[in-house]
Amino acid sequence: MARILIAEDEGAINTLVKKNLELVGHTCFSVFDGEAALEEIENAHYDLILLDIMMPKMDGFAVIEEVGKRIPIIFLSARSAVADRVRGLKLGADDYIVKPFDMLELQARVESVLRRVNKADMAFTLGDVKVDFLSQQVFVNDCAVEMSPKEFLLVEALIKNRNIALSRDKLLEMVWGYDFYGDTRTVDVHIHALRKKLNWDDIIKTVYKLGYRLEVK
Amino acid sequence: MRIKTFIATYLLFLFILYASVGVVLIYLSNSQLDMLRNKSAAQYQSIIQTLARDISILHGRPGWDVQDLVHEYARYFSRHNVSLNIFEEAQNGSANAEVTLVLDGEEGHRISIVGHMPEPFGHFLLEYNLNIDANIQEMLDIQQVLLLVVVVVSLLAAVALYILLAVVFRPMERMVRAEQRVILLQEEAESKQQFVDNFTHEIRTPLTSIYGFAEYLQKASLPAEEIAESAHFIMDETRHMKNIADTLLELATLRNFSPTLKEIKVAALFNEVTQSLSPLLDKKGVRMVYDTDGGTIKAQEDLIRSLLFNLCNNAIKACKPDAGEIKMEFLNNKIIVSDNGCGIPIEALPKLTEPFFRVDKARNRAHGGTGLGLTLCKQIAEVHGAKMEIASILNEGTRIIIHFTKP
Repeated sequence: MARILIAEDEGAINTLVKKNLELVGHTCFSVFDGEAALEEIENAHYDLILLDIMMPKMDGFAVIEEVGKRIPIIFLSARSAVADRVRGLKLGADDYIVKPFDMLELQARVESVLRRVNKADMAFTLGDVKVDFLSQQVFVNDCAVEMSPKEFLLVEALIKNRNIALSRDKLLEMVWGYDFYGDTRTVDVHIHALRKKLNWDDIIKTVYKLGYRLEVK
Repeated sequence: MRIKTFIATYLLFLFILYASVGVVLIYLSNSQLDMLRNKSAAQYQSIIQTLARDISILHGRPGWDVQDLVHEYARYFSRHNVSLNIFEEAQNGSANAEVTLVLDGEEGHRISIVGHMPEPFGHFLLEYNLNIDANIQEMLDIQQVLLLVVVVVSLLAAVALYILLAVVFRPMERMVRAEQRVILLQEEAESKQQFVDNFTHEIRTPLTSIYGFAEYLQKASLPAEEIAESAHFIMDETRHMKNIADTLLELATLRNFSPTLKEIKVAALFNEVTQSLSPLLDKKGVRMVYDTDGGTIKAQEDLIRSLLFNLCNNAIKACKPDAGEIKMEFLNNKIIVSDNGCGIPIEALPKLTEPFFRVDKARNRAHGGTGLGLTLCKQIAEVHGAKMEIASILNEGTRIIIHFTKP
């Protein structure tokens, strides 16, 4: 998983982002101003920086000008004006997230940037199950398991957002797309199939009144 | 701009006028003097020739005296302002006459010609003096008249130039005024935009935390302590938003509000504020003192208390731990709160009372606060008919003065 630097001066938001990213297995480090961020970048290796714009000592724009294209950067800002977003992206940021943001949106954008720079995980192993994202194959005890494309997408969504409960609606949207007019029971049916095929009865937890969560300790 | 153009144009005009008049005057007087010089040289020549002829006739007669002859001449020429003298010298000299212009001499202004008579009377030296007082006086008169004309002309020119410039500059001045108004409007629009931006930030930041931690609680399976921590964040940020809402509401109520005025003893109020802030003061190691002249003010007590709380709270935040000193004073209807804290940069001073303005560009909320405190203080001062004044020196301290008008 990736090493991510979080530069954000609001303690609460910094903690929030850190906790969220650690849920899916990233290693995170928090700094609270621009100068500390630069120092940390010089001293250690990071795969991605989440950068607030309005920070003490040195703002996000100044930081990105120093860092350049060395490390992928996602801006995290309360400034939602188009001009700010354009400025951020023009300075070389890989993405721009406006506060307040959704947990899943944050995960998806981080994942997308990591995939673009080939820092995303290509495979996932849990117990005797191994999932290969590149060849879209799943192995149990090194034996390939027959899977439908939707089933694979469902496994992928659960793994990428592991430890996070995903609602049935969200899963429908992620796997079947916005324009799918099916019942949320479609999700239940597929989850049932997955649990059987991978022997994941205890891994894919049903979250009461919400949906499902892939739990990895 | 208009004044500058006026002065420059007028000075240039005066320079040209006086320079040309000066040149004309010099030329006039020079030519006058030249004319006089030529005239007197001619007269001298004719005198000397007649005199030489007379001398040659009279020479050798008994009882002849050259002085008598010259006296006769002099008497005749005196009506032409000419005086003549003859001297007899031992040796002959050259017949070349020497013409000199004597100004302000003992006998007034004159043209003097001194020369020897032609041979054979070379030992006689004839001195010729033409008095030119009248001519000089005439020149001075002309000079005076010209000067008078020039002064009148320059005064007239000043008036004319002033009127002309006023006409020419009128549309320009109108444009300048219009531009100033546009700038004012722009500033207003900018400050409104700034307010919206700041407000958005002030609201979004706590909302991000509240929503984020709620979602975290909902979607992650967490141990008990992490649930407590997340809930704590949510409650903290909610409290902060509640503070903003309360203050905004207070501000809204204060608009068009007339306070119920009562006589308040300021010393008692100072004491009360000091008492209730003492835990905070002790925690940070900041000293707070107060001093009054024993006077009272007519005000609504809870509002003034809230004003003092706000100002003192700001002062405590500005002070360095264990070195801070805050002073509340009441003198001559003025409440003064001063501290020796970090101070405020001078460019931020006029914006301090704008809602949600923060000196720190990063809008850091590490000290808490809603960003509305000073806006509220200003509003409270205003409903009491008082004026709030902020003076500050960076790194030295801040001093806030509330001027109450005399009842």
